[in-house]
Amino acid sequence: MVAGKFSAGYGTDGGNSLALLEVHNLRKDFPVRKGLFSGTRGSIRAVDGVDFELREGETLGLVGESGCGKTTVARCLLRLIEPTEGEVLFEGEDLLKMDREALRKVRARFQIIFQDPYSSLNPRMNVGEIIAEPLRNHTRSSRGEIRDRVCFLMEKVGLHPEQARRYPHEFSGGQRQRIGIARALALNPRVIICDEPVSALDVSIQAQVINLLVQLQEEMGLSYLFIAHDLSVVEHISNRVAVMYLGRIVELATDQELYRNPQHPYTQALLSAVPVPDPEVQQRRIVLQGDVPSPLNPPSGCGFHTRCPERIDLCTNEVPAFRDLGNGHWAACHLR
Amino acid sequence: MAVGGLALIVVIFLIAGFASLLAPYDPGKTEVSMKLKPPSSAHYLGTDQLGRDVFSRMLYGSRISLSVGFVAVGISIFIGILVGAIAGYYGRWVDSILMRFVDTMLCFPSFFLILTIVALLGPQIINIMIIIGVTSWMGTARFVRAEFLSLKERDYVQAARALGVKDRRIIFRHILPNALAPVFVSATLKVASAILIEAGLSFLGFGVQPPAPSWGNILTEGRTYIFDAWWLTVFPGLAILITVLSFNLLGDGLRDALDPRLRGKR
Repeated sequence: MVAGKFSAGYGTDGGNSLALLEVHNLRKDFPVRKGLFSGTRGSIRAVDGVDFELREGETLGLVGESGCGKTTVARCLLRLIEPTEGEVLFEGEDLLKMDREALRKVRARFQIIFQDPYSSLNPRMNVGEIIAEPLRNHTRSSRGEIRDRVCFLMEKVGLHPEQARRYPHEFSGGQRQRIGIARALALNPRVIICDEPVSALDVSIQAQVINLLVQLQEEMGLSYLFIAHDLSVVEHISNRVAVMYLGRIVELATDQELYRNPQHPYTQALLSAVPVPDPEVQQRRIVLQGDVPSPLNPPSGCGFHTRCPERIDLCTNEVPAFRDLGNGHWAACHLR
Repeated sequence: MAVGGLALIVVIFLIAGFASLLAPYDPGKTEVSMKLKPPSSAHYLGTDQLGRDVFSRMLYGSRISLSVGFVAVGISIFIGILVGAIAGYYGRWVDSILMRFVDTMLCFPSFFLILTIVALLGPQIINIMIIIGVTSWMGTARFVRAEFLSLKERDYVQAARALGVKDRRIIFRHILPNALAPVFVSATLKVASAILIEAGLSFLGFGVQPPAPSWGNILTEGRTYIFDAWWLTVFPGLAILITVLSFNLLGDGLRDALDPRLRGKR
């Protein structure tokens, strides 16, 4: 690993804003056990050396198909899952080296919104209690202050403060997601990980929630790591986009650059699959053959070589370096 | 139904509470000339082999049976929840150690374990309650642990962790309330089995010592005369049945009442 590799910043367009969150060589292996008396059979490489940085006030999209390790990355960053290896620098401090109490304090400024609005709210707590929970844990506010703050937050995300006494099951999916957002905002975080926050919602509600996230970002100066499998959603909200495949980031660029000029064959295939709402447009679809290889037994060399339409011999032997192709456009491909 | 169960329990408790006012005879008074008489207007539930009034004995017996049932189950679910919650939440070696301990406890034939301890400590009612409690928590611990294992992976528990909520609060505020419903329902069944264990102990002479009555020892004493004097076994049996049934109904009702999703729907 070259020391100067991170100084330029992946995929930034030369902006000089500071990196709030830097992730270096993040790995997560899940051991697979055979039985009671035998040892580990092997391990699933869920995340295999991910590097990126998130700058102040920006939205970094993270896309990839199911099982590529997006959610594992999200949970490793917050140490909801302990990563096997790597560094997660938040405001310059390594989260992975913190003890429990330090980590607990940091989590006030580093939050997450979950994919499933049905399972992410405790069914036995009313909305007011759910939103007040972080306040009770991290501040010494009085009851009145907490109530005021809860009202403020509920209004901020477009809910009526009178609904604070209701329980999650009385709300629709979109409203529940707003409750989750209010909870994440309660302590004025700087970074929010959005783990597919709209993929469980109807399309019409998706737009509302995304617009809310954009609006909150402007008002509160938030930075988002926005995880999704839907490229059009990511395009709308992101400044930069990273594409993941089989536990690695294969391409990272500003969103315009990525959508206009995708370099990695996987990104090209993904983009060709995005439907264009115009019957006149003739699309050239790149259809990938086969399935994603098992992370239990990942292919040698480039993880994508088993399905790559442009494969050369080198791809099967050597892992391509993640290189700057110029203009802040990074990709991991031998051919570029 | 649940309200019916609750009403029955209230009635049973009132009977136990006011046994001395309701009982027509002294439960210990023997009258050999009146032995083994079937139910009549003088003795509503008949008399036993010593001519004692079964109705009065059952009224007094309800005190002992209910308190044994309650205290024993209280001790049992307290230990069970604590052990299950800690094992399920912390997992890894904590879980392994606690669950192996549970397995060990389950290996002992619990009735003989109880007998041994009673023989050592003496058959006072309080000892019997404690002993039944500390030998019957393993089932509760196992399924509280199972509930915790599944609930701790829920997103709202992950969200609480991400919010920096402390372990104790996650356990008691986020996971336990969602894991308690089956515990309540099983606790109502355990009341029944505690009453029956006490009956069994009484049968072997290690339970509530005669002449003090409990439903258990009335039932077991009457067993000898089951073909001649059916009332000696049928009525205490019925009393246990009705009590257990009403606790089960209450358990169901509690489960629904404690779940905000079911509140207000019926």
